[in-house]
Amino acid sequence: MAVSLLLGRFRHAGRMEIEEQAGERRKPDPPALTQEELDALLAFLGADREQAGESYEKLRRKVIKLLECRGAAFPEDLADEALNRMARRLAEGVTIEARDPYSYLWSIAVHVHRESLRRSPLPAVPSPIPADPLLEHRLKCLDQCLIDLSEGDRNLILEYHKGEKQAKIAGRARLAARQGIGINALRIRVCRLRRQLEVCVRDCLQIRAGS
Amino acid sequence: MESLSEKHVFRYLIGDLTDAEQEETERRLLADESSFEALQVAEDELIDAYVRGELSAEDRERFQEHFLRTPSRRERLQFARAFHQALHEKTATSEELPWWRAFFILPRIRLPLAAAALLVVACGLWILVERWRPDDGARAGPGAPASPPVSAGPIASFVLSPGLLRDSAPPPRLVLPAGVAAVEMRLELEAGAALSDYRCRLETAEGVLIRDGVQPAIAIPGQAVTLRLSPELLASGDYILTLSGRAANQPYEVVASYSFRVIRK
Repeated sequence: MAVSLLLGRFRHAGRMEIEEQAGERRKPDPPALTQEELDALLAFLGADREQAGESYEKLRRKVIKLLECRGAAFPEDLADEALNRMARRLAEGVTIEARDPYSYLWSIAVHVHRESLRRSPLPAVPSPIPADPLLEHRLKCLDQCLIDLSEGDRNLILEYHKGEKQAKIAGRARLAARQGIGINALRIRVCRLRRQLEVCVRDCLQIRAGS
Repeated sequence: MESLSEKHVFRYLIGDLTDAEQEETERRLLADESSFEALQVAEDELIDAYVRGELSAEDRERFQEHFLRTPSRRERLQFARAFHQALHEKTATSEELPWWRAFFILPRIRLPLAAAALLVVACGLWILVERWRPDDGARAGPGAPASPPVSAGPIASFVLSPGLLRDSAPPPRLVLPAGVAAVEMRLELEAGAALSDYRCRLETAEGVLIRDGVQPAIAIPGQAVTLRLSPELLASGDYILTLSGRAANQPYEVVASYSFRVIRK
Protein backbone atom coordinates (compact mmCIF):
# COMPACT_ATOMS: atom_id res chain seq x y z
CA MET A 1 0.00 0.00 0.00
CA ALA A 2 1.61 3.18 -1.14
CA VAL A 3 0.51 5.36 1.76
CA SER A 4 1.88 2.99 4.35
CA LEU A 5 5.20 3.00 2.46
CA LEU A 6 5.22 6.74 2.70
CA LEU A 7 4.49 6.78 6.38
CA GLY A 8 7.21 4.24 6.96
CA ARG A 9 9.84 6.60 5.63
CA PHE A 10 9.02 9.69 7.64
CA ARG A 11 11.28 10.00 10.62
CA HIS A 12 10.52 10.39 14.30
CA ALA A 13 10.67 13.98 15.41
CA GLY A 14 13.53 15.03 17.63
CA ARG A 15 16.11 12.36 16.68
CA MET A 16 19.33 14.35 16.69
CA GLU A 17 22.29 11.98 16.72
CA ILE A 18 25.13 12.80 14.43
CA GLU A 19 26.53 9.79 12.62
CA GLU A 20 30.00 9.58 11.18
CA GLN A 21 30.51 7.40 8.14
CA ALA A 22 33.57 7.29 5.94
CA GLY A 23 34.71 10.58 7.40
CA GLU A 24 31.52 12.39 6.44
CA ARG A 25 29.06 13.97 8.79
CA ARG A 26 25.50 12.84 8.38
CA LYS A 27 22.67 15.27 8.82
CA PRO A 28 20.35 14.69 11.78
CA ASP A 29 17.11 13.03 10.76
CA PRO A 30 14.51 15.59 9.73
CA PRO A 31 11.46 16.00 11.93
CA ALA A 32 8.43 13.97 10.93
CA LEU A 33 5.71 15.40 8.76
CA THR A 34 2.37 16.16 10.29
CA GLN A 35 -0.71 14.50 8.86
CA GLU A 36 -1.68 17.81 7.29
CA GLU A 37 1.68 18.15 5.54
CA LEU A 38 1.54 14.58 4.32
CA ASP A 39 -1.99 15.07 3.00
CA ALA A 40 -0.94 18.24 1.19
CA LEU A 41 1.93 16.47 -0.55
CA LEU A 42 -0.18 13.49 -1.59
CA ALA A 43 -2.96 15.73 -2.84
CA PHE A 44 -0.44 17.62 -4.93
CA LEU A 45 0.96 14.43 -6.44
CA GLY A 46 -2.38 13.00 -7.47
CA ALA A 47 -6.10 12.90 -6.84
CA ASP A 48 -5.97 9.18 -6.11
CA ARG A 49 -4.05 8.57 -2.88
CA GLU A 50 -2.54 5.29 -3.99
CA GLN A 51 -1.36 6.72 -7.29
CA ALA A 52 0.03 9.69 -5.41
CA GLY A 53 2.01 7.28 -3.24
CA GLU A 54 3.46 5.64 -6.34
CA SER A 55 4.32 9.04 -7.81
CA TYR A 56 6.07 9.90 -4.58
CA GLU A 57 8.20 6.75 -4.73
CA LYS A 58 9.13 7.37 -8.35
CA LEU A 59 10.01 10.99 -7.71
CA ARG A 60 12.05 10.07 -4.67
CA ARG A 61 14.07 7.49 -6.64
CA LYS A 62 14.86 10.09 -9.29
CA VAL A 63 15.89 12.75 -6.77
CA ILE A 64 18.14 10.22 -5.03
CA LYS A 65 19.82 9.33 -8.33
CA LEU A 66 20.38 12.96 -9.28
CA LEU A 67 21.75 13.81 -5.86
CA GLU A 68 24.08 10.86 -6.21
CA CYS A 69 25.21 12.37 -9.53
CA ARG A 70 26.06 15.50 -7.56
CA GLY A 71 28.23 13.41 -5.29
CA ALA A 72 25.97 13.39 -2.23
CA ALA A 73 27.20 10.85 0.29
CA PHE A 74 23.71 10.25 1.70
CA PRO A 75 21.36 11.00 -1.20
CA GLU A 76 18.42 9.18 0.40
CA ASP A 77 18.48 11.46 3.44
CA LEU A 78 18.72 14.60 1.33
CA ALA A 79 15.91 13.47 -0.99
CA ASP A 80 13.65 12.82 2.00
CA GLU A 81 14.49 16.23 3.42
CA ALA A 82 13.70 17.92 0.10
CA LEU A 83 10.36 16.15 -0.22
CA ASN A 84 9.48 16.93 3.39
CA ARG A 85 10.23 20.63 2.86
CA MET A 86 8.08 20.62 -0.24
CA ALA A 87 5.25 19.02 1.76
CA ARG A 88 5.53 21.68 4.45
CA ARG A 89 5.39 24.51 1.94
CA LEU A 90 2.37 22.98 0.28
CA ALA A 91 0.66 22.72 3.67
CA GLU A 92 1.50 26.39 4.29
CA GLY A 93 -0.41 27.24 1.12
CA VAL A 94 2.42 27.88 -1.30
CA THR A 95 1.12 27.58 -4.84
CA ILE A 96 3.27 25.61 -7.23
CA GLU A 97 2.68 25.93 -10.93
CA ALA A 98 1.36 22.56 -12.04
CA ARG A 99 3.44 22.70 -15.22
CA ASP A 100 6.68 22.73 -13.32
CA PRO A 101 6.48 20.83 -10.03
CA TYR A 102 9.74 19.01 -10.80
CA SER A 103 11.59 22.25 -11.17
CA TYR A 104 10.29 23.44 -7.82
CA LEU A 105 11.26 20.22 -6.08
CA TRP A 106 14.69 20.24 -7.67
CA SER A 107 15.34 23.79 -6.48
CA ILE A 108 14.66 22.62 -2.94
CA ALA A 109 16.85 19.53 -3.41
CA VAL A 110 19.77 21.60 -4.71
CA HIS A 111 19.41 23.93 -1.73
CA VAL A 112 19.37 21.01 0.70
CA HIS A 113 22.45 19.56 -0.99
CA ARG A 114 24.33 22.88 -0.72
CA GLU A 115 23.48 23.04 2.97
CA SER A 116 24.92 19.55 3.40
CA LEU A 117 28.10 20.57 1.58
CA ARG A 118 28.54 23.47 4.00
CA ARG A 119 28.34 21.01 6.89
CA SER A 120 30.70 18.49 5.28
CA PRO A 121 32.51 19.16 2.01
CA LEU A 122 32.96 16.30 -0.42
CA PRO A 123 35.90 14.06 0.45
CA ALA A 124 38.69 13.60 -2.09
CA VAL A 125 38.54 10.40 -4.10
CA PRO A 126 41.55 8.16 -3.53
CA SER A 127 43.69 8.00 -6.65
CA PRO A 128 44.42 5.59 -8.13
CA ILE A 129 41.29 3.63 -7.25
CA PRO A 130 42.52 0.79 -5.04
CA ALA A 131 42.28 -2.83 -6.14
CA ASP A 132 39.19 -4.64 -4.95
CA PRO A 133 39.98 -6.56 -1.75
CA LEU A 134 36.80 -8.60 -2.25
CA LEU A 135 37.48 -9.53 -5.86
CA GLU A 136 37.58 -13.31 -5.40
CA HIS A 137 34.39 -13.30 -3.34
CA ARG A 138 32.77 -10.94 -5.82
CA LEU A 139 33.62 -13.22 -8.74
CA LYS A 140 32.15 -16.24 -6.97
CA CYS A 141 29.01 -14.31 -6.11
CA LEU A 142 28.79 -13.08 -9.68
CA ASP A 143 28.97 -16.61 -11.05
CA GLN A 144 26.21 -17.70 -8.73
CA CYS A 145 24.07 -14.69 -9.57
CA LEU A 146 24.51 -15.34 -13.30
CA ILE A 147 23.35 -18.89 -12.78
CA ASP A 148 20.32 -17.62 -10.90
CA LEU A 149 19.24 -15.64 -13.95
CA SER A 150 17.05 -17.37 -16.50
CA GLU A 151 19.04 -18.82 -19.37
CA GLY A 152 17.61 -16.24 -21.74
CA ASP A 153 18.57 -13.33 -19.48
CA ARG A 154 22.04 -14.76 -18.86
CA ASN A 155 22.71 -15.18 -22.55
CA LEU A 156 21.41 -11.71 -23.19
CA ILE A 157 23.62 -9.89 -20.71
CA LEU A 158 26.73 -11.90 -21.60
CA GLU A 159 26.29 -11.52 -25.31
CA TYR A 160 25.48 -7.81 -24.99
CA HIS A 161 28.85 -7.14 -23.40
CA LYS A 162 30.90 -9.24 -25.81
CA GLY A 163 33.31 -7.68 -28.31
CA GLU A 164 34.93 -4.29 -28.62
CA LYS A 165 34.21 -1.11 -30.54
CA GLN A 166 32.64 -1.76 -33.97
CA ALA A 167 32.27 -5.49 -33.37
CA LYS A 168 30.42 -4.74 -30.16
CA ILE A 169 28.08 -2.27 -31.85
CA ALA A 170 27.34 -4.70 -34.68
CA GLY A 171 26.84 -7.53 -32.18
CA ARG A 172 24.34 -5.48 -30.22
CA ALA A 173 22.41 -4.61 -33.37
CA ARG A 174 22.18 -8.31 -34.24
CA LEU A 175 21.15 -9.14 -30.70
CA ALA A 176 18.38 -6.52 -30.77
CA ALA A 177 17.16 -7.88 -34.11
CA ARG A 178 17.09 -11.42 -32.75
CA GLN A 179 15.14 -10.22 -29.72
CA GLY A 180 12.74 -8.38 -32.00
CA ILE A 181 13.30 -5.05 -30.21
CA GLY A 182 15.02 -1.76 -30.92
CA ILE A 183 18.54 -1.02 -29.75
CA ASN A 184 17.34 1.40 -27.06
CA ALA A 185 14.90 -1.13 -25.66
CA LEU A 186 17.76 -3.64 -25.60
CA ARG A 187 20.00 -1.24 -23.70
CA ILE A 188 17.29 -0.58 -21.11
CA ARG A 189 16.59 -4.30 -20.73
CA VAL A 190 20.27 -5.05 -20.17
CA CYS A 191 20.59 -2.10 -17.80
CA ARG A 192 17.80 -3.53 -15.64
CA LEU A 193 19.39 -6.97 -15.71
CA ARG A 194 22.65 -5.45 -14.64
CA ARG A 195 20.97 -3.67 -11.70
CA GLN A 196 19.48 -7.03 -10.75
CA LEU A 197 22.92 -8.64 -10.87
CA GLU A 198 24.49 -5.83 -8.86
CA VAL A 199 21.91 -6.20 -6.11
CA CYS A 200 22.34 -9.98 -6.14
CA VAL A 201 26.13 -9.70 -5.84
CA ARG A 202 25.87 -7.12 -3.08
CA ASP A 203 23.48 -9.34 -1.09
CA CYS A 204 25.71 -12.36 -1.68
CA LEU A 205 28.77 -10.48 -0.40
CA GLN A 206 26.87 -9.46 2.72
CA ILE A 207 25.91 -13.07 3.36
CA ARG A 208 29.51 -14.19 2.87
CA ALA A 209 30.74 -11.44 5.20
CA GLY A 210 28.29 -12.62 7.86
CA SER A 211 29.18 -16.30 7.62
CA MET B 1 10.20 17.35 -24.60
CA GLU B 2 13.26 16.43 -26.63
CA SER B 3 15.44 13.83 -24.98
CA LEU B 4 18.96 14.71 -23.99
CA SER B 5 21.67 13.52 -26.35
CA GLU B 6 24.01 10.72 -25.28
CA LYS B 7 26.95 13.07 -25.50
CA HIS B 8 25.25 15.60 -23.23
CA VAL B 9 24.41 12.93 -20.65
CA PHE B 10 27.99 11.68 -20.82
CA ARG B 11 29.31 15.19 -20.16
CA TYR B 12 26.85 15.56 -17.29
CA LEU B 13 28.01 12.33 -15.69
CA ILE B 14 31.70 13.25 -15.71
CA GLY B 15 30.97 16.75 -14.42
CA ASP B 16 31.85 18.55 -17.64
CA LEU B 17 28.92 21.02 -17.63
CA THR B 18 28.69 24.53 -16.21
CA ASP B 19 26.61 24.94 -13.06
CA ALA B 20 23.72 26.40 -15.06
CA GLU B 21 23.88 23.59 -17.64
CA GLN B 22 24.04 21.03 -14.90
CA GLU B 23 20.96 22.34 -13.11
CA GLU B 24 18.98 22.61 -16.33
CA THR B 25 20.00 19.05 -17.24
CA GLU B 26 18.88 17.81 -13.84
CA ARG B 27 15.47 19.47 -14.18
CA ARG B 28 14.98 17.78 -17.54
CA LEU B 29 16.12 14.42 -16.22
CA LEU B 30 13.66 14.72 -13.37
CA ALA B 31 10.76 15.56 -15.64
CA ASP B 32 11.44 13.29 -18.60
CA GLU B 33 11.17 9.56 -18.05
CA SER B 34 13.01 8.53 -21.21
CA SER B 35 15.96 10.81 -20.49
CA PHE B 36 16.12 9.41 -16.98
CA GLU B 37 16.34 5.84 -18.30
CA ALA B 38 19.01 6.97 -20.75
CA LEU B 39 20.96 8.35 -17.78
CA GLN B 40 21.01 4.98 -16.09
CA VAL B 41 22.11 3.21 -19.29
CA ALA B 42 24.79 5.85 -19.85
CA GLU B 43 26.16 5.30 -16.34
CA ASP B 44 26.78 1.63 -17.12
CA GLU B 45 28.40 2.46 -20.43
CA LEU B 46 30.61 5.08 -18.84
CA ILE B 47 31.78 2.67 -16.14
CA ASP B 48 32.43 -0.01 -18.78
CA ALA B 49 34.41 2.43 -20.90
CA TYR B 50 36.55 3.29 -17.87
CA VAL B 51 37.12 -0.37 -17.00
CA ARG B 52 38.05 -1.19 -20.61
CA GLY B 53 40.44 1.77 -20.78
CA GLU B 54 38.45 3.44 -23.55
CA LEU B 55 38.25 6.94 -22.03
CA SER B 56 40.63 9.71 -22.99
CA ALA B 57 43.12 10.78 -20.33
CA GLU B 58 41.08 13.91 -19.61
CA ASP B 59 37.75 12.07 -19.35
CA ARG B 60 39.37 9.40 -17.23
CA GLU B 61 40.56 12.04 -14.79
CA ARG B 62 37.13 13.65 -14.67
CA PHE B 63 35.53 10.27 -14.17
CA GLN B 64 37.74 9.57 -11.18
CA GLU B 65 37.35 12.99 -9.63
CA HIS B 66 33.65 13.50 -10.27
CA PHE B 67 31.84 10.28 -11.02
CA LEU B 68 33.56 8.17 -8.39
CA ARG B 69 32.90 10.56 -5.52
CA THR B 70 30.23 8.41 -3.90
CA PRO B 71 30.81 5.04 -2.23
CA SER B 72 27.91 3.50 -4.14
CA ARG B 73 29.50 4.38 -7.47
CA ARG B 74 32.86 3.05 -6.38
CA GLU B 75 31.04 -0.14 -5.48
CA ARG B 76 29.51 -0.25 -8.95
CA LEU B 77 32.96 0.18 -10.43
CA GLN B 78 34.16 -2.86 -8.49
CA PHE B 79 31.17 -4.81 -9.78
CA ALA B 80 31.99 -3.79 -13.35
CA ARG B 81 35.63 -4.81 -12.93
CA ALA B 82 34.55 -8.24 -11.70
CA PHE B 83 31.95 -8.56 -14.44
CA HIS B 84 34.46 -7.77 -17.18
CA GLN B 85 37.03 -10.11 -15.67
CA ALA B 86 34.42 -12.89 -15.71
CA LEU B 87 33.59 -12.05 -19.32
CA HIS B 88 37.27 -12.12 -20.21
CA GLU B 89 37.69 -15.54 -18.58
CA LYS B 90 34.70 -16.83 -20.47
CA THR B 91 36.00 -15.48 -23.78
CA ALA B 92 39.45 -16.93 -23.18
CA THR B 93 37.90 -20.31 -22.42
CA SER B 94 35.74 -20.06 -25.52
CA GLU B 95 38.85 -19.74 -27.67
CA GLU B 96 40.17 -23.05 -26.40
CA LEU B 97 36.95 -25.05 -26.48
CA PRO B 98 34.11 -25.47 -28.93
CA TRP B 99 31.53 -22.76 -28.29
CA TRP B 100 28.87 -25.26 -27.35
CA ARG B 101 30.98 -26.42 -24.40
CA ALA B 102 32.34 -23.07 -23.38
CA PHE B 103 29.45 -20.70 -23.77
CA PHE B 104 28.12 -21.11 -20.24
CA ILE B 105 31.34 -21.99 -18.50
CA LEU B 106 31.81 -20.19 -15.24
CA PRO B 107 34.90 -21.67 -13.63
CA ARG B 108 33.94 -21.32 -10.01
CA ILE B 109 30.84 -23.49 -10.24
CA ARG B 110 31.90 -26.36 -12.44
CA LEU B 111 31.63 -29.06 -9.81
CA PRO B 112 28.03 -28.48 -8.67
CA LEU B 113 26.87 -28.24 -12.24
CA ALA B 114 28.83 -31.29 -13.28
CA ALA B 115 26.96 -33.15 -10.56
CA ALA B 116 23.70 -31.84 -11.93
CA ALA B 117 24.69 -32.97 -15.41
CA LEU B 118 25.28 -36.46 -14.07
CA LEU B 119 21.74 -36.45 -12.74
CA VAL B 120 20.56 -35.88 -16.25
CA VAL B 121 22.41 -38.99 -17.33
CA ALA B 122 20.49 -40.90 -14.70
CA CYS B 123 17.25 -39.60 -16.14
CA GLY B 124 17.95 -40.97 -19.61
CA LEU B 125 16.03 -44.14 -20.28
CA TRP B 126 14.60 -45.99 -23.14
CA ILE B 127 11.46 -48.05 -23.39
CA LEU B 128 10.71 -50.61 -26.01
CA VAL B 129 7.13 -50.66 -27.16
CA GLU B 130 5.06 -52.51 -29.73
CA ARG B 131 6.11 -54.05 -32.96
CA TRP B 132 9.81 -54.60 -32.81
CA ARG B 133 11.35 -54.18 -36.26
CA PRO B 134 15.04 -55.08 -36.51
CA ASP B 135 17.04 -52.53 -38.47
CA ASP B 136 20.78 -52.27 -38.19
CA GLY B 137 21.28 -49.87 -41.04
CA ALA B 138 20.34 -46.60 -39.37
CA ARG B 139 22.56 -43.76 -40.46
CA ALA B 140 22.32 -40.04 -40.01
CA GLY B 141 21.53 -38.03 -43.10
CA PRO B 142 20.13 -34.65 -44.00
CA GLY B 143 17.52 -36.24 -46.24
CA ALA B 144 15.91 -38.17 -43.40
CA PRO B 145 12.50 -36.99 -42.21
CA ALA B 146 12.46 -35.17 -38.83
CA SER B 147 9.60 -37.25 -37.41
CA PRO B 148 9.35 -41.01 -37.82
CA PRO B 149 6.23 -42.74 -39.07
CA VAL B 150 3.74 -43.42 -36.29
CA SER B 151 3.92 -46.91 -34.72
CA ALA B 152 6.76 -48.03 -36.93
CA GLY B 153 8.55 -49.96 -34.18
CA PRO B 154 10.24 -49.53 -30.79
CA ILE B 155 10.76 -46.04 -29.43
CA ALA B 156 13.74 -44.92 -27.37
CA SER B 157 12.72 -42.29 -24.82
CA PHE B 158 14.95 -39.90 -22.91
CA VAL B 159 14.58 -37.02 -20.49
CA LEU B 160 16.87 -34.00 -20.82
CA SER B 161 17.27 -31.01 -18.53
CA PRO B 162 18.35 -27.64 -19.91
CA GLY B 163 21.64 -25.78 -19.74
CA LEU B 164 23.83 -28.19 -17.82
CA LEU B 165 26.82 -28.25 -20.06
CA ARG B 166 30.20 -27.87 -18.42
CA ASP B 167 33.67 -28.78 -19.55
CA SER B 168 34.30 -31.04 -16.59
CA ALA B 169 31.33 -33.31 -17.24
CA PRO B 170 30.49 -35.35 -20.29
CA PRO B 171 27.13 -34.62 -21.88
CA PRO B 172 24.27 -37.02 -21.12
CA ARG B 173 24.51 -40.21 -23.17
CA LEU B 174 21.64 -41.45 -25.29
CA VAL B 175 22.22 -45.06 -26.22
CA LEU B 176 20.26 -46.02 -29.31
CA PRO B 177 19.91 -49.74 -29.89
CA ALA B 178 19.72 -51.00 -33.44
CA GLY B 179 16.20 -51.27 -34.74
CA VAL B 180 14.74 -48.30 -32.84
CA ALA B 181 12.01 -46.73 -34.95
CA ALA B 182 11.78 -43.40 -33.15
CA VAL B 183 13.61 -41.30 -30.58
CA GLU B 184 11.43 -39.47 -28.13
CA MET B 185 12.97 -36.70 -26.03
CA ARG B 186 11.20 -35.05 -23.14
CA LEU B 187 12.81 -31.61 -22.73
CA GLU B 188 12.32 -30.28 -19.22
CA LEU B 189 11.70 -26.54 -19.01
CA GLU B 190 12.82 -24.16 -16.32
CA ALA B 191 10.01 -22.79 -14.21
CA GLY B 192 8.49 -19.66 -15.62
CA ALA B 193 9.17 -20.38 -19.28
CA ALA B 194 5.44 -20.52 -20.02
CA LEU B 195 5.28 -19.94 -23.76
CA SER B 196 2.68 -21.40 -26.04
CA ASP B 197 4.41 -22.14 -29.33
CA TYR B 198 7.68 -24.08 -29.46
CA ARG B 199 10.13 -25.22 -32.10
CA CYS B 200 13.52 -26.90 -32.01
CA ARG B 201 16.82 -26.67 -33.80
CA LEU B 202 19.07 -29.72 -33.85
CA GLU B 203 22.72 -29.39 -34.74
CA THR B 204 25.93 -31.22 -34.10
CA ALA B 205 28.38 -29.93 -31.54
CA GLU B 206 30.49 -28.71 -34.44
CA GLY B 207 27.61 -26.54 -35.60
CA VAL B 208 26.35 -28.61 -38.54
CA LEU B 209 22.61 -28.09 -38.83
CA ILE B 210 20.61 -31.31 -38.81
CA ARG B 211 17.08 -29.95 -38.56
CA ASP B 212 15.50 -26.59 -37.80
CA GLY B 213 11.92 -25.67 -36.97
CA VAL B 214 10.97 -29.08 -35.63
CA GLN B 215 7.62 -28.88 -33.88
CA PRO B 216 7.24 -30.82 -30.62
CA ALA B 217 4.75 -33.69 -30.51
CA ILE B 218 3.54 -32.59 -27.09
CA ALA B 219 4.05 -29.28 -25.27
CA ILE B 220 3.09 -28.51 -21.69
CA PRO B 221 3.92 -24.80 -21.34
CA GLY B 222 6.24 -24.08 -18.45
CA GLN B 223 6.91 -27.77 -17.77
CA ALA B 224 8.18 -29.81 -20.69
CA VAL B 225 7.93 -30.44 -24.39
CA THR B 226 8.24 -33.82 -26.03
CA LEU B 227 10.01 -34.14 -29.32
CA ARG B 228 9.92 -37.16 -31.58
CA LEU B 229 12.77 -37.61 -34.03
CA SER B 230 13.71 -40.12 -36.64
CA PRO B 231 16.75 -42.12 -35.45
CA GLU B 232 18.20 -41.70 -38.93
CA LEU B 233 18.99 -38.12 -37.97
CA LEU B 234 21.23 -39.21 -35.14
CA ALA B 235 24.59 -40.79 -35.83
CA SER B 236 26.96 -41.39 -32.93
CA GLY B 237 28.31 -38.07 -31.77
CA ASP B 238 27.57 -34.93 -29.76
CA TYR B 239 24.54 -32.74 -30.41
CA ILE B 240 22.95 -29.48 -29.33
CA LEU B 241 19.21 -29.10 -29.29
CA THR B 242 17.98 -25.51 -28.99
CA LEU B 243 14.39 -24.96 -27.98
CA SER B 244 12.71 -21.68 -28.88
CA GLY B 245 9.26 -20.53 -27.93
CA ARG B 246 7.01 -17.57 -28.17
CA ALA B 247 3.91 -16.08 -26.65
CA ALA B 248 1.01 -15.08 -28.88
CA ASN B 249 2.03 -12.53 -31.54
CA GLN B 250 5.57 -12.31 -30.20
CA PRO B 251 8.82 -13.27 -31.92
CA TYR B 252 10.53 -16.55 -31.03
CA GLU B 253 13.11 -16.45 -28.29
CA VAL B 254 15.53 -19.12 -27.16
CA VAL B 255 14.10 -20.93 -24.14
CA ALA B 256 16.80 -23.47 -23.44
CA SER B 257 19.62 -25.52 -24.91
CA TYR B 258 20.22 -29.22 -24.34
CA SER B 259 23.38 -31.10 -25.08
CA PHE B 260 23.65 -34.86 -25.43
CA ARG B 261 25.85 -37.58 -26.86
CA VAL B 262 24.36 -40.27 -29.06
CA ILE B 263 25.87 -43.72 -28.98
CA ARG B 264 24.58 -46.11 -31.62
CA LYS B 265 24.70 -49.80 -30.73
